[in-house]
Amino acid sequence: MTDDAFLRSILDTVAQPVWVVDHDGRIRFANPEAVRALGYDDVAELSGKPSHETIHYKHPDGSPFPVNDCPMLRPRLDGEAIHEDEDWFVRRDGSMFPVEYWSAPLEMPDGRGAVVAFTDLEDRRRTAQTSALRRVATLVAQGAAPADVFAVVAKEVAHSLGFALISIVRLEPEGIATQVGVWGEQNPFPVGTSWRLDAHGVSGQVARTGRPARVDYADVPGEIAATLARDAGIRWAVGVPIVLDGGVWGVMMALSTGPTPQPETTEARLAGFTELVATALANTHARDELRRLADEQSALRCVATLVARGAASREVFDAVCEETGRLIDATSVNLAHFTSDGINLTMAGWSLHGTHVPPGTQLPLDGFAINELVARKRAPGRVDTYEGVPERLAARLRELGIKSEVGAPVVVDGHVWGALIAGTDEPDPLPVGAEYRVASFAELIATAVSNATARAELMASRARTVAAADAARRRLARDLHDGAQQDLVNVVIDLQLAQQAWDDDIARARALVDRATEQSQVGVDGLRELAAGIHPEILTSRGLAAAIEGLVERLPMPVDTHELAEGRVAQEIEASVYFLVSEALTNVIKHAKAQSARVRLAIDPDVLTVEVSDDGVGGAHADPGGSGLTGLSDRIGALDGTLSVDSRAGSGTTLRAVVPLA
Amino acid sequence: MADQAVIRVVVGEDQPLVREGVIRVLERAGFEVVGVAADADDLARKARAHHPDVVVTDIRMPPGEADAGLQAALAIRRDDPATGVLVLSQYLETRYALDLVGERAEGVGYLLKDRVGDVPAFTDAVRRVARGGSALDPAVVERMVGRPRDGGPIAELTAREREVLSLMAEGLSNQAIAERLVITVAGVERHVTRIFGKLDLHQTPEHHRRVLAVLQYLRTGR
Repeated sequence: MTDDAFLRSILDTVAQPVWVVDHDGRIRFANPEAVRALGYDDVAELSGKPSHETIHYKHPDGSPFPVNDCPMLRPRLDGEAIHEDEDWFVRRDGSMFPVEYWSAPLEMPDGRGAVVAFTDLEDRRRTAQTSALRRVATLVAQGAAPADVFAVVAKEVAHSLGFALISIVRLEPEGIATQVGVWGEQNPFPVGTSWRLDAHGVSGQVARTGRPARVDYADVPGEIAATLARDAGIRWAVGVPIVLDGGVWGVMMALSTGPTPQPETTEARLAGFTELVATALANTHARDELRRLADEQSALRCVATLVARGAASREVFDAVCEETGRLIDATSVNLAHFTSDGINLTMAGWSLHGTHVPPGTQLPLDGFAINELVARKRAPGRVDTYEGVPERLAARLRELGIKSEVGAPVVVDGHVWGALIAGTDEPDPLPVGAEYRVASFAELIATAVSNATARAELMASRARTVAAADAARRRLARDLHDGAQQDLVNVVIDLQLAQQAWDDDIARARALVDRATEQSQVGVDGLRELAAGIHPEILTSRGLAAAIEGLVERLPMPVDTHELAEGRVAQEIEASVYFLVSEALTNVIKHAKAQSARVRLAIDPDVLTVEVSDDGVGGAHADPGGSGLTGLSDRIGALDGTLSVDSRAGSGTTLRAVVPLA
Repeated sequence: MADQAVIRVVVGEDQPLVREGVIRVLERAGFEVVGVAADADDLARKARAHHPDVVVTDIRMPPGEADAGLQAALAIRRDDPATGVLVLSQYLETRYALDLVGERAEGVGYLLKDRVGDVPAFTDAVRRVARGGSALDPAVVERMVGRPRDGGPIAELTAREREVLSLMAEGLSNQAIAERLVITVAGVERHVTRIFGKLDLHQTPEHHRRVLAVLQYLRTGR
């Protein structure tokens, strides 16, 4: 085996690209790795070609690389091995790639040549990038905080792609960019630095177009470019967008020194990392959103439990104010009640720094404060600044240091009862959407208020029912004392007198017995009517229609009863409806100055409707203190029914009760 | 002569004192009390067994109180049309009376309970019902006739005509009306003709048809 053949057989098996140059600078042979890396198909295409003129004849910027300047073949002349960290080789098609190479002298039979081994830096960087991406992806998957992800990404990108400086910026409103992650040996702009975007800078271009951009800082005026050049020797920049939810969230920039721009593949390589950054951000957003929802749910649940337990309104109000404040990071929360006379009455409040309006404060509900806005629009709203807002409520808020507020209406039974207001003493307003989160709590307030109102109404109704029952008992006792009892006392007296007169004066005795008989008849008639009035037997045996007809026959006024349904319903409903009709007709006779009246009764499968109307003077209304319509309303309310009165002055009165039939 | 035969009565009343009172009044007046029942079921059974001329019963009876006596009376009337029924009631309700009469004013009566003490009137009513006539309590009739009306023919009757109309409704014959009002039978007949004319009712020679026509007229509440 010749030396050549020996060498060739070794080099063919080596993974490192290697070629051998003869004393003349011509390629003696190249191993398959080298043939492939240089873009050739066969070693024969290289053999015998001048090495420098074939693979090393130009710089990356296209300028010629004179052979006399080239160190690669020098070992052939001086016998010293050399090593280049970074240089560029030219492929068959003229494209270039970065390499690190070693060149060593090689004694050959025909004179000293050199053996050149090189590493494709792009290959190495690709590998490094793959593992860097894997490390970043692992970090993202572990749910690292965005700040950590930014720092690691900057470092990994710098290392794996070989850039001097990697910068990740977040785009803020109003054309501001803030450094959120950075890596570089020389870094003039630490994390947290903000600057205003301009048309020349790379981040400004990316922000404007949403597409990758490149700049040569030699062409860029301004402080930033100057600083970068002075402090870090930066000349070139490539920027790619970080896209989150369809918008440009930020920019990742690769900045480099040196005479040549970054390779064309830079944008694509950066994009691999910006996608991971975007994923990390999206994850964080999702997690924050989840946590916010969980916090909100737990705060709502806490208040809802209080409401469900029927806690006193004040306790619920205080809890809502505090939970709302803590949840949306407000520094002050107030619950206001809008009174019927246009006053904003502060019911409860909470604040971090004592800036809430004190409960009990009464101010006119007018002007431009959030309270008035919510009252007028009946919808959540916000006031982003109270600066220069006239009117007393806004002035009071300024005094308290509240800069801006959001609020939502508390709607009870279709009316705006008040508003839940959250404010902040920070210069920045509460985040967009905070008003809708306040609205969830406002709904709980509405439920609590509605419950409390219903409870108060129920208690008042119960009290009235008890009072009405007491009054009915007193009336019954009076009727019995004045009526039947008096009649019976008279009968007893007359009969006793008759007994005494029996022997002496039989005629007088007879007269007394006659009178006692008449008197007892009166008593019996009175008792019969009294009993019928308390609860007519016919109501039980024949139902509403028969009982109402019987009732109407006793009244001194014609009452039309042609539209009375004959069906039967539950006893308590029949009783309540009967007394409703009875009291309504009594009212008609007493107050309406009517010529006639009409009772209508309809019994449908699921609802009973009864209507008492008259042709009287009208103008009846539920008298809150009295027994009249309020009493009737209580009676029907107890059956889950509703009572309505239509009684315009001069057009009679129609009382209608609708009772559900369970 | 059948009219002179002893009238056989079944009495239904759950309160012992009242029951004894009713029985004593009836027996003293010459009626034969052939059966006594203290509840509605017993009453129906005894009425079927004895086929009395008349059943006199309280409206309120066990079982169920309420109007069990009236229901039993209705059943007896339906099952045995020859037996008259007279219901004694503490309820001044025209509906009960009209339900009891239904479509047939023969052998039926509805009296307030305290009428029992007015022995002649009470026994007269029992006798009328036993013989196929009718007897409605004057207070019940007064409630129907005297009910407030928005105009209408009844408002156009004279006071005397209203009196005659009421007595017809109670079930009295022209003869009885004449005696009550102390006028001639012919005078009663003239009133009746005018009343029927004003109310636009067809005169009928049959007494019980006349009662029914009057009651049905009053029932409509015109």
